[in-house]
Amino acid sequence: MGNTSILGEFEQLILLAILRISGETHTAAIRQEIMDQIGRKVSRGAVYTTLDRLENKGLLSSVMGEPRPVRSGRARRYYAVEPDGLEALNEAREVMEKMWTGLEPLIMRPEPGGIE
Amino acid sequence: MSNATPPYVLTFLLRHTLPRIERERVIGDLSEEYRLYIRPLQSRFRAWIWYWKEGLSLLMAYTISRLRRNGRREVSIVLDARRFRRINKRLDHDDDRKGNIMEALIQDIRFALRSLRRDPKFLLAAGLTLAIGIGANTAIFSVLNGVVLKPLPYEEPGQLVKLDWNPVGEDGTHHFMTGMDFIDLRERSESFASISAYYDYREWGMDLTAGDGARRVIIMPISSDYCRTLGVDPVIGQHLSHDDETAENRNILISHRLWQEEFAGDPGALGSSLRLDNEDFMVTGILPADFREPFDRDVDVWLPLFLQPGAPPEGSRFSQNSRDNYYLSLIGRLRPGVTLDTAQSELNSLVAGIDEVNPDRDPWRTTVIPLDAAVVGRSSSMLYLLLAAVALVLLIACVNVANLSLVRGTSRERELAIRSALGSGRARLIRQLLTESVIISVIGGLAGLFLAWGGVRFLLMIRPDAIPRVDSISFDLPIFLYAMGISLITGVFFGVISAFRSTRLDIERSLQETGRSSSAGARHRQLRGILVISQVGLAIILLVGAALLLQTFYRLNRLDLGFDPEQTVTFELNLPAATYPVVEPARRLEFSREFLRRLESIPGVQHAGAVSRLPVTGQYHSWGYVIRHESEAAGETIWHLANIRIATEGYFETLGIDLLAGREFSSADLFDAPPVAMVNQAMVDRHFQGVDPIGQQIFEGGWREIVGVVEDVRIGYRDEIPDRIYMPYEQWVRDRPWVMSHVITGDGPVEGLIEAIRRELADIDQNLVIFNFTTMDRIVGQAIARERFAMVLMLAFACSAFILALVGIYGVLSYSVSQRYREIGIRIALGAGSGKIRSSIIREGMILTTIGIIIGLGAAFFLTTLMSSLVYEIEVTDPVTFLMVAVTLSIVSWVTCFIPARRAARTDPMEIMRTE
Repeated sequence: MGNTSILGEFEQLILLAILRISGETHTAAIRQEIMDQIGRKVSRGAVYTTLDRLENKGLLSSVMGEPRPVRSGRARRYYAVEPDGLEALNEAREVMEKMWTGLEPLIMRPEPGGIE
Repeated sequence: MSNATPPYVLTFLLRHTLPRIERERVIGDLSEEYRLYIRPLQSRFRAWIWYWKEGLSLLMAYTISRLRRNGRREVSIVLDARRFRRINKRLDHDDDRKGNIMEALIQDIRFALRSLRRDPKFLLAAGLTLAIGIGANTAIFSVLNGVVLKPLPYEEPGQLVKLDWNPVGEDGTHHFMTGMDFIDLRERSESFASISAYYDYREWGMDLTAGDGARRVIIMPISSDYCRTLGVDPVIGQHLSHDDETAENRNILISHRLWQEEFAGDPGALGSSLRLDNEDFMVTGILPADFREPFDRDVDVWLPLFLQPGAPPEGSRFSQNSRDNYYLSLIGRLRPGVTLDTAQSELNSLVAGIDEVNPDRDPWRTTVIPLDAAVVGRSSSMLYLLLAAVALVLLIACVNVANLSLVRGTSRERELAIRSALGSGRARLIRQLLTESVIISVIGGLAGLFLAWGGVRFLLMIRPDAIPRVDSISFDLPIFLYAMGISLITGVFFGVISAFRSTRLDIERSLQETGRSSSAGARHRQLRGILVISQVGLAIILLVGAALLLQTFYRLNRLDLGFDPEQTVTFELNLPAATYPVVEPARRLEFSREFLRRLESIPGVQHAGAVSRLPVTGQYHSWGYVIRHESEAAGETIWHLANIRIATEGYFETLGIDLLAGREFSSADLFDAPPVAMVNQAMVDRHFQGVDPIGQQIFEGGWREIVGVVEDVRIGYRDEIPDRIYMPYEQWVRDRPWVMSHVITGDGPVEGLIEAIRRELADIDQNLVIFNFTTMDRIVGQAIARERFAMVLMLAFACSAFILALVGIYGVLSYSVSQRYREIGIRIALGAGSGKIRSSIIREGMILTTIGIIIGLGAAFFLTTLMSSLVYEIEVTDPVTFLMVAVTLSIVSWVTCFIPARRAARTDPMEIMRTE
């Protein structure tokens, strides 16, 4: 690949969402998962284009499903994270963790309710 | 479940614009969500909205992401070319063609943006040039659109006409109509849904008294169906009726503005009274806020005319209705389906019938002209001329940009050659270059819109009263479409010039040649030469036009107006007949003498006087008169026309109008003394050849003796000076209660005198109003506003054309020098003097300039005839002007050529050798 750049935030969200869902990893489900977890609306276009980009980078792969009448006879596309994608996720996490190390006392919010 | 089908139009759109690989699942996802979650839970309309919103935002997201993604990639001509070939192959498959329109377009735009970004200087130069051209065009178009093209703001404006009235044989002159003729036409004509009359023979004002103050409002006397003719209904209240057309009538319509100001918009205003000139009038209707008088008058009160046969009661404000008292103007509304010709021929026979029963009157004729043409009048030809001028500027701008892109095309020859070698067809390359030029022109057009917006502000600032209907000039959708339209045309125009030339490639040679080649320059030189020639030619046409207008303005400005406007203020004062009755002339006279005496006693005031109509404000009170000795010699009464002016004793001295013979009015010329008159020199020249005018008798409302002759005073800048008769205010005072324009000169600045004048007036009578306070300089300025407007704009256009043409010459020469560095270096190394090099470059430029000048002068010779109505005392083919323009342009372009020539002459051969 030779792609040394760190994954973007939204790219990470997409990859993680695919991993969290078992089975029906199509676009709508991925989008729903992200919205459920982060609690705000995610634009459909952003999801599609990011999926597209990740697939171009080789971090994702996709297969077409069977055409279905409810989709006007169109097929769904199902996504799976490739090993390169897992690698990239890990790398991103490591980088972030490195950056976080030692900063907890400076940055962490005091949680009034104690430990959750 | 048919209503569960997602909207077809958007699906279709998505199917044909989304990337092919994405299409299937994106549309599928959308329709699944629509069918399963959205449609069952929401109304049909909301679901529909949802689908469109999601679909369009998807489309946006894809477009943006592809533009962005590809913009970031490394630039590689070879890769691009490979990609082209792939796409071209794909295009061969019919199946895919549909979906690829968008893809190919995006691809084109992307390449274009990328290549423009690589060359920001070019983008800036081309964009700015076009912005100026398109901006100026759009600005003028928006004025033309507002003034000429937009329909009048009335219902079915195409049915509205103005009825002009003129004696047979004097076509094109505008006369007023008599009350009796109007009544006849109104009753008998079949072609018109209605005909109505209004009185704009002079501007009426009345003093509105409310509370303890008084102010002047503008009045328009109208026939009762005036508003119905225009198709305007009162927002509150009702129309006037034929019963209101009497001398006793007190029903009036008022403007929305007056309703707000006097009644604070209270609907109860209806039926309440307004005190005008110390008489009570009843408000019966309020006209809409957006109602505008066709001829831009700022009317506040519409008052029914007296339209009964014969004379109104003594002391009435109205005129008598007979067959020879001409005072009305007419507008009409044609019945649906009736043409101008039908109406015209019907009126012809009606008027012929009227003439038949009035044999002792000269025959008349009435002409139907569309109301919009009458409103716009002469301004439309001026605006079209300016639009033509500004179109030339745009053409020059186009040529400049075409020139720039040719230069660019030359330097991109290798790139284009590689693409071509890799399989891009010529059509594909042309499309690519055209896309680039259209993008540039659209960018230029958007910037031009801003310039145009500023330009329109500027136009309105320099002189709004130079053109009619200024209110309707606005910046709206048609203007935007116009700007975008000419941007596209411009882009295609200059794009085609350069694209076809740049893509005529000799691939092998282009690839073999290294770097900066000379053959490419040679190939383009001919075309670029032609472009420069046409620029110079176009610029010459504009320069000649501007020079003609400049001289016109100069001549007009130097014109002797016959009076001295400096340090003079003026205002109108109305002595209402209700409190100062005409039947009590002594009271009116007493007031005026006292007021003028007090004015002259104000510190800083030199002289004060008054006149019934100021100079340079047009034809006014053009009345018939008879010269006794002439008529007696002829044995019949011979009528002439003269502009009548009522003047006070001090008027001539105040405005510096010189007495040429006899004496001025004196305080002895009272209303019970023998009637006297003064006349102007033009009248003496025309009618008193070889006769001493002093002591002669003329008939003007009674026989009067000519006691003095004064120099001619102009009624307008271009108008011929008509005969003029002055009558003393002291004798006229018992005749009609005319408004007098007072003039005051001071020995220093006069604008601050208003307060002192108001104080003196209030001291005599608190209910009197000073109206239209202004300086004489401003009155003169208004009289020449139209000329100034045309001149300033033409000059601005000519200057921009001039500069663009110079930039064109400069560009071509610099480029030619840069292409020939090697050649020049070698010549210098071989011993050519720098003078020789310099003159050879200058010669190259001057040959182009000279050819351009000759062609331009030839074209100007024919085109300037279009301007003949705009120039004054100068031939449109004035040889001196043509020569001056040619010489000026030659000199300046010589200087322009000199710069690159000098650079060429300073070429250091060693440096050239080193870079080889």
